[in-house]
Amino acid sequence: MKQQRLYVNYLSSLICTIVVSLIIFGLERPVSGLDLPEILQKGELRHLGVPYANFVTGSGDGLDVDLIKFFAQHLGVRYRYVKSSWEEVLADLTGKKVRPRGDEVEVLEEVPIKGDIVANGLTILAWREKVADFSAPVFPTQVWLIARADSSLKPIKPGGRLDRDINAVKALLRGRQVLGKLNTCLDPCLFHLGKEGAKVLSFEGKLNELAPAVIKGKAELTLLDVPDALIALEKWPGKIKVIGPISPRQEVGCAFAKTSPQLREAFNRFFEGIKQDGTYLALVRKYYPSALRHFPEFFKEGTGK
Amino acid sequence: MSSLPTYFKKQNLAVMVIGAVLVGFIVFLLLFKYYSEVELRRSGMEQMRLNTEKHAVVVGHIFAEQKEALKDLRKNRELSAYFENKALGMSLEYGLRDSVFGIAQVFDHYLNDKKLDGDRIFTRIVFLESRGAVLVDRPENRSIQAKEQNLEKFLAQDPPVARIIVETQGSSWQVMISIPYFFKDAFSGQIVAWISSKTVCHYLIKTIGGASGRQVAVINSQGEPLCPPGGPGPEIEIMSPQDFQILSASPTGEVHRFESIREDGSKVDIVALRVPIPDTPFFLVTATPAAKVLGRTSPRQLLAVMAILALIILGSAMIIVRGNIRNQVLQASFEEAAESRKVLEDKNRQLEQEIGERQLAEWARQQSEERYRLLVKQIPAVVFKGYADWSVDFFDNKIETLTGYSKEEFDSRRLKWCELILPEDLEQVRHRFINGIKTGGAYSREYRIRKKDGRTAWIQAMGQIFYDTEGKLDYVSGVFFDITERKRAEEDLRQSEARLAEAQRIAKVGSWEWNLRSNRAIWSEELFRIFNLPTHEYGLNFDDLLQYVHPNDRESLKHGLAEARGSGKPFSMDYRIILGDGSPRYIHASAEIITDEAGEPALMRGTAQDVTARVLAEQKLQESNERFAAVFENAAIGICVADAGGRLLAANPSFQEMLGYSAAEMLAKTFPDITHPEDLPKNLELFQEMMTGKRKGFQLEKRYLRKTGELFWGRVIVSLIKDAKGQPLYCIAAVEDIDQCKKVQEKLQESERNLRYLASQLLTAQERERRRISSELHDELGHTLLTLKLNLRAIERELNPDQQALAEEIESLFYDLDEVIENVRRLYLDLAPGDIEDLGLTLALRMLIDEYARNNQDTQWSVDLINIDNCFTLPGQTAIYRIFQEILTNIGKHADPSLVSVRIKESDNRVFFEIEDNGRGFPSEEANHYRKRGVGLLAMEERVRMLGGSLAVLSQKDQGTRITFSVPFSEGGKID
Repeated sequence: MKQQRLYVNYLSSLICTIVVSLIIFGLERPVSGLDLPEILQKGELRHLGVPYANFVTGSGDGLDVDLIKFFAQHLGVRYRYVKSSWEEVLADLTGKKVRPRGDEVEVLEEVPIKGDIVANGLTILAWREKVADFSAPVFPTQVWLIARADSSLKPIKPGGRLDRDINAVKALLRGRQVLGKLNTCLDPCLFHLGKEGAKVLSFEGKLNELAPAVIKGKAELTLLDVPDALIALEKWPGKIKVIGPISPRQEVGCAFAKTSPQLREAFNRFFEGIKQDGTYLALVRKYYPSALRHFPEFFKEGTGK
Repeated sequence: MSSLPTYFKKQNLAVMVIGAVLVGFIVFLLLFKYYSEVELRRSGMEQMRLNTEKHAVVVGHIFAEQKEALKDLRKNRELSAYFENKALGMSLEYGLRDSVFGIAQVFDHYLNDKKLDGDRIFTRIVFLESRGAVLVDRPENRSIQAKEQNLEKFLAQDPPVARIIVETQGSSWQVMISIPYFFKDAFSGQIVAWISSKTVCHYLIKTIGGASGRQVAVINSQGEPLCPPGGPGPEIEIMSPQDFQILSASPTGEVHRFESIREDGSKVDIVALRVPIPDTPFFLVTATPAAKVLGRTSPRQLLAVMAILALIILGSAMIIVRGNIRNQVLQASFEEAAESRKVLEDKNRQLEQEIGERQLAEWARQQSEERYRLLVKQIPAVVFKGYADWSVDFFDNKIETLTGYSKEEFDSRRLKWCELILPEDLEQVRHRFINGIKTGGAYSREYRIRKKDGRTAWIQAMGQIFYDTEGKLDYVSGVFFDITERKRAEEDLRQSEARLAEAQRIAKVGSWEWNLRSNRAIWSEELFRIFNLPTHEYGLNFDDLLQYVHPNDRESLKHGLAEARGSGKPFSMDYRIILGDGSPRYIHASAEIITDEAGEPALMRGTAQDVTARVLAEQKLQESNERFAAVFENAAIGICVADAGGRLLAANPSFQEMLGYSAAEMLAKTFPDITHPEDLPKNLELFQEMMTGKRKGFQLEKRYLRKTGELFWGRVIVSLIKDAKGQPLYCIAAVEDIDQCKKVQEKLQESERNLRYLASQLLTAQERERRRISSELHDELGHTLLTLKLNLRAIERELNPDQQALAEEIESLFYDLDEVIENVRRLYLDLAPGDIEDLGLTLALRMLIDEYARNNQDTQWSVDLINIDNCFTLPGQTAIYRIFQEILTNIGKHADPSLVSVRIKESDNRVFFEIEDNGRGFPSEEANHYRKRGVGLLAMEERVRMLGGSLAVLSQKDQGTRITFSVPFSEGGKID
């Protein structure tokens, strides 16, 4: 009898351990992202970021880092930065690893969700909108074709219309090597450069290293978005030149899981507020002063507090 | 009272004189003041001019400083970045606008940062591109920028330099600084900066103007002020616009005085001037009320005022004097009477007292003089009493014995004592005398005097200085002793001792005396020197001396001395001492014993001589002899000694063995006996030259005759030994057996001759083979290619019009074929320079040089050739052509020169070739390395040698190469 009781106790302990483990590990792999109530309840906002230009510098600051910190402060929760990569960042948000197929996506597998919001200069692209929801645009951008200074390719003469300029740039690419980073906003495939006769080279390094790679002679041409191109021109004057635009005007936004609509709405309200009171312009002036001059219509002065 | 009228007359006269002096003094003061005022005015205006010039420099410096600061602005990275991006072809829409924004940002910061006393210096900065287009215009002011479209007028003139510009707009004007901008040394634009007039005016007022009612202004050449009245201008305005106009027409740097009419109609007397501001086209004006600079009164006014004042003072003084004169007379009479009475009473008392004292003193003096005369008469010296003027009293005639002068001559005061003292001693005696007066008391001095008969005498003066009641010198009393004899004896003794010491020093002989009873020794100075000890009153006694003696010599010294002491015989021995620094010294000592009255040894006296140098020389000589003997006997080479006639005096075993003679047989020979007859004349000639002093020795390779009659080669080195007078004593010969070496050398030379013959055969064969290949190429391949070309042409002609593609293909083949034919032509010409046969060597060389010059157009060529067509045979010409080919190829491949010169000259049936370049060159010590590297140097040398010539290469790293070679004419060769 005594031996039977011991056996029951042992079994009970085992079941309890299994249940606790399931609770603990099961929580790490939720099937959907957290929305605003859960975040408020949890008291923490997880910012998924990839170091890129001055959006996320990798040194603990950046335009998007400051922006999400302000947002966390606005919500009254803790801020936590979660480091990710360009390949994983959307999967870390949505729990689904996907492969873009043109403007469509192919779901590959499910992965753990690691954050609540992606903000690192993420361009709003059609295929990305299939996976996640985007906030109101927070930053304008455009992709430029950049060449090494000694390249035989000459910058185009602006023709007065952006589509003509893009076509003029693409017409120069036949037989030329263009360095880009696949599955990012600087993926040459997004702009169908292969079809234009360009030889697309995949860059294995970070986006921040594209301009240095061209200067070092890894390739003759590369793609840079305007904010990054302006920084590169300031950093390495005379080493690179802007051939012309390769994309129409684009916009950058913060990405949210499709299961977090309340969080997205809260962010949009918050963003509109700081844009009006001048806080956001101060952030932009701090990290991208030249962007204010290039995109004056986007960064119209707010009414102020 | 009878003297009172005289007194008054004198006083009146005095008053009149004083009055006149006072008036004169006042006149002097007035004149002095007048000229001072005039000078003050002049210096005031000069000071004003200097201050204005100084301020103009300050203002000019402000503008110059801003000009320099703007130059620094050009260095800003944003400006060059814009031009770099522009040069890359970037457009404003895509990338370049950001560079423009960068420049604007820099300008904005510059406008905000540059301040003068808190005010912004610049109001506007514009960047004009070289074609006049406005690139940046800050700060953004649409109204101004829209109005001013004509900014290209500020573009720099040729040549573009930084300058200060004045821009007039209506009645006002402003200052701009214009700085040219250069991108990669090309004029690319202009920075124009507007200077704030307000800031400049504020600065002027704050730092220069305002003080002492002064007005300061900057005006242009038309007299328009930078700060117009009523604006931010000066707080003090004493000049009207018309005044500025007047001043602008006046010469610069000149102070002007004029009346300025103010707005309220009042007039003000002002002084003003304008001076140019350095490095600017405008002027600085300062104006000041005249009273501030020149004073409120003129010198003439001052003169009149002071003259009146002087007259009033003089008149008043005279009235006062006249009014007080009677009272003064009475008062003076009373005071005079009382004073006279008092004086008379005092004098009576003094007279009574003096009479008593004098009587007492007279008695004491008589007693004292009596005793003194007695003393003076008895002492063996001359007693004197001297005074400050060097006069002397003597008390008897002993002075005549001492000096030859009589007592009366001194008593008459015509003769002073200082006249007797020798001039060389006088200054010292005088000096000591003055010191003696200061210190006081007794003294004793020795000095020389000149006697009346001209002889010199030494005297000793001993005396006592006496002072009067006021502490001044009264007299000196003392005695003179004649010490001439003593001094002479002392001098003799001193000279004797000095001679002895000198003799000892020269001979290195020290002397000593040893008192055997007191065990105390006295050493001469030289002995101390020998022992390297400091000179002392006493020398070392025997026990102390032993410490310095070498341990091995101590016992023998002890024994020797003891024996001398015991026997009383003289002592002599050599011993060594060890000096304080450890070095040994050799001493030769000798001594003798001096006995007392009882015959007992009392004193030992002797000398010690330093014989170290002699002993060491003897030791070295002995060592040298021993070494020579060892070398002579054991040397592997032959050594012999011969007298001046060539007879052998000695021969070492090696030499005996070389020749096969015994030592005794050798001594019977002369060197001609053992020399081969063919080598003897040369040997005798050299021997004779050595004996007559033309050479110190000689070296010769010659053949020796052995006893057996065989020959062997030897290299002999002969040296001459002379006696002290330079006459030849004997000579030493060292003979080395080089027989084997000579034989090897002969074989080597034979081998080299063979090698050269082979090399020449090789080059000849190579040339022959080249000609054959060239002939093959020309005759066979060239012909075949030509045939091929003709066939192709025939095929081309057969083509139908629709076979256009084939025709194009054939045309392409023609192109390739022509290229092959040309290559073959170049190859066979290169292999066999047919130009030589056809054109002659001179023209062939000229064409060769021209071809290289064409291929190296960066190089300057200097060619100076003479006609050498008939100097050499065809193989010789070919060889020379090849050498040139090789040299020019090396220059083209390795030298990279900017200048090559080629010269050919003829002299004495030889042709001299010189090829020089200023290229890289190579260290001359690496010539062998280049020979092996296959740059053809070896082949060139061989070709020149084949032609009987010689070649030299002179080269230095980075300083070019010079190759010269000369070749004798071939048989029958000549210069045309």
